[in-house]
Amino acid sequence: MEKLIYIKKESLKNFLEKISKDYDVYLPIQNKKNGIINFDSINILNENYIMNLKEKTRQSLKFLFFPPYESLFEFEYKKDIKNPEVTEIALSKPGNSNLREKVIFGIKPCDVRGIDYLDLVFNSGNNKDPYYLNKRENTIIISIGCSIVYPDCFCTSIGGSPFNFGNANIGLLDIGSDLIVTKLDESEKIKKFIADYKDFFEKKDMDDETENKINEIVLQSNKTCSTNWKKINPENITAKMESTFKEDALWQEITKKCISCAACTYVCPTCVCFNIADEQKDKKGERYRCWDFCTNYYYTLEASGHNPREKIYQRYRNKINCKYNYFIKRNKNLYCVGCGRCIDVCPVGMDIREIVSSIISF
Amino acid sequence: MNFINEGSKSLNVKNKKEDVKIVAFLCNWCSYAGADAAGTSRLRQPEDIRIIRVPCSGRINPLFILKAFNLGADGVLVSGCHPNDCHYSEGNFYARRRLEVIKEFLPFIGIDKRRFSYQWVSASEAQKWQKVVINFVKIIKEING
Amino acid sequence: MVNILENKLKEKISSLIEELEIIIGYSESKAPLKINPVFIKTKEEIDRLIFNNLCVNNLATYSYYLSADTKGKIGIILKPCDVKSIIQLISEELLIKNKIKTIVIGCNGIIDYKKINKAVNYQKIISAKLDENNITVNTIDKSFNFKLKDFFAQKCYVCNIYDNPPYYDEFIENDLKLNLEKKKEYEDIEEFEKSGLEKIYKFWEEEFNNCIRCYACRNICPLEVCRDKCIAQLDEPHWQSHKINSSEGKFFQLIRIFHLAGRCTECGECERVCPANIELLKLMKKVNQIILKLFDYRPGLILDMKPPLLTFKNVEQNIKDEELI
Ligand code: SF4
Ligand code: SF4
Ligand code: SF4
Ligand code: SF4
Repeated sequence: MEKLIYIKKESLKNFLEKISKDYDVYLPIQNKKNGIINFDSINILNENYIMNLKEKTRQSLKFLFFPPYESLFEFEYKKDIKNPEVTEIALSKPGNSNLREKVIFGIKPCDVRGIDYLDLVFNSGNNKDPYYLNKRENTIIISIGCSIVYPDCFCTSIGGSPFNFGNANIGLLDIGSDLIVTKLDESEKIKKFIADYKDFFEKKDMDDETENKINEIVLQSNKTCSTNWKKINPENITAKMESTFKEDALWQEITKKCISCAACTYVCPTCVCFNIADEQKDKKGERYRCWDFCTNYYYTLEASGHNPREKIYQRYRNKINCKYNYFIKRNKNLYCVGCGRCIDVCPVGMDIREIVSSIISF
Repeated sequence: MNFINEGSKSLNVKNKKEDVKIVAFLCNWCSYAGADAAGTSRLRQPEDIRIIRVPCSGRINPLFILKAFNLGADGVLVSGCHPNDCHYSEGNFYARRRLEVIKEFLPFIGIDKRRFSYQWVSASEAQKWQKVVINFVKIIKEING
Repeated sequence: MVNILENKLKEKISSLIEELEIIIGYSESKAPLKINPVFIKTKEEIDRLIFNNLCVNNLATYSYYLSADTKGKIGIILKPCDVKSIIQLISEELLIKNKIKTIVIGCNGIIDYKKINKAVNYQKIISAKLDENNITVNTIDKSFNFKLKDFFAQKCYVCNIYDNPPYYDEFIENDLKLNLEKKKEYEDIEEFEKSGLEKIYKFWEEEFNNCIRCYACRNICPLEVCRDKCIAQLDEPHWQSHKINSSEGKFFQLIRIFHLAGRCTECGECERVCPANIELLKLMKKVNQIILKLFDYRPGLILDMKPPLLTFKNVEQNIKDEELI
């Protein structure tokens, strides 16, 4: 019979505290004052900041690996008084600020997928982004499947599942009393991790009761999720996006209420656009990057003053095409993980499912 | 005062107690000339003030003041022609309204009202300018403790 | 009861639709506690219109950009307080009066869904049902029943125009009247101010730590027609850094506030849309309180009156020069 590995819910707190001695641990933490859940360090937990594993975080995991603002390097112009015509530029790179390994606990499967997509952008082929990798490497990702599926989740529609752990190192399934390990990485790192904390990873034989429970939860979650939207076929959708690209009237119609803010792109786990800027005062300065968003007027504004995507519908069309067309062509995947964050935060109720549906049915 | 732009720490130094940084926006026609006159008549003034010359007090965008605070100024002083004496006849009337709104608003974001002041100093009032500066610097140093 | 009002609304719209190119109104949304703005062109679509206590959005937001894009007349369904935004836009010559038809509905208050979120401890709400005096909301494992009267938007507790809008082209009377215990205007502001400079400074620093500079607050504002020309996003001149952090978020907000001083009608949209739940309206209200005190002026009530910061008096009654000598 199959051996079952599990973590007792009641020892979860101890487990996390224990690993935080050896690792930097990040969890979904809810700020009780304003209700917002975000990934943050275990060290900030107190009576106002509590762990919340139930709901999705407001910000996706990209916040940790690809923060909204990060300094790339600092520079300084140096002049030699004896040699005034020569100016030297001294560069200083921010050091590898954090060498401790990280454990990120309690990620939803859709967010795990989000990271896979970030990896495709920042860490594939010749595109290796050192700033990203610096934070991304040495991370152990522990994901928990979604026993609760909310009305804005639609991962099953686009090829995910509430229990598809993708590249997560450890995948857990919550059956109420225990967290059952349903996915374990084969790597040495994880073997060591399990061995180091073997007190918490308990073992028992699989019994019927547990098996039924697991099956029931998986079935139920998949079912709820698939009622939230229909299945999307990546092949068909690209063709449809191509054929509707020039239908300006359609796009105008479906994006009328959008106010072109950044709420939807900034919370999205897969949106990766950024802007690079230099800021200088006297002889010292800094080059940094920060998030940018394609629904923004300035995103495509040219130096001449011309803006090829002047109207909101043109910009929103780009957003949808980026996710449901261009990325599929490059990477064979829809660039959306179905987390529903954009639906949740949109101030005017734009629902990406409705938008894509009306394009499909056009 | 810790109203410091944390994002650009490298660009600014936290001020020491005795060494305060005060930004003064002076209109070209009255106050700047007044300050100049104070200089030429050798009236002693504290050195903590950095003067920025603007065409008219009406040119002063509330942003100038907030930006100065955001970049770590300990105090901001604005000075222009007396009401009715504006070189452009009404610039300082508009300014007066805006500046008063700012002054009233500052405490609401946690900045002491006394850190900001606007004054009317004409080209001939070198002595007044001297007094204004001395007193303003004194107040700022007091707040900084 | 509500249906009587909706029927009246639909009738009115049917009689107007011929002369209007497009009508902006409210429609059902799948998301609990929310409604969707809807744009209507034909008779068949009229049935999608709704009006109830959840119609929080200020549809005046769309007026400026839409009026630039359409040739004909635009109809907008508004609450009495929303009409203030239209008045303000017209008085600043940003809108042409006869391009807009304001269809104002008598109001019995709107629900602030952020208050409900708070009352359920910020658990995700998956469905909700509204009736005349109560609201039932369901989270994943619990059901709550609340009395409406505690959950109205702050502005409704000080509202005195709910059945006499300051301006309208068409007015649809509501048999239900706002019936709330009045609160003192700006009492929350005065309360907050008591906490002292240091605490206030800390408070905003923490609040803006969450700001991601998504500009939703700017773009939803009916009066910020400058959203595509925003100084906060310009490189030349580089007024503000593009960095996303607490102090830049706060600075951006201060810019907004001073650009809206004496113009903001306190519709509360900025605070509603902020994904970081920052209490933005507090700042706006403070400026308005100052403007009221100094210039005895309330934005959005009189059609052809200039905002106080665009004009002046030779002798200002309420401004005293500060003596430094
Ligand atoms: S879809 Fe919503 S969140 Fe996204 S830009 Fe438009 S209004 Fe903002
Ligand atoms: S587009 Fe929306 S649903 Fe898709 S991954 Fe981004 S935030 Fe989630
Ligand atoms: S402020 Fe007045 S008009 Fe506006 S929603 Fe509240 S009750 Fe209605
Ligand atoms: S809506 Fe909130 S998070 Fe977005 S820019 Fe405004 S204050 Fe910041």
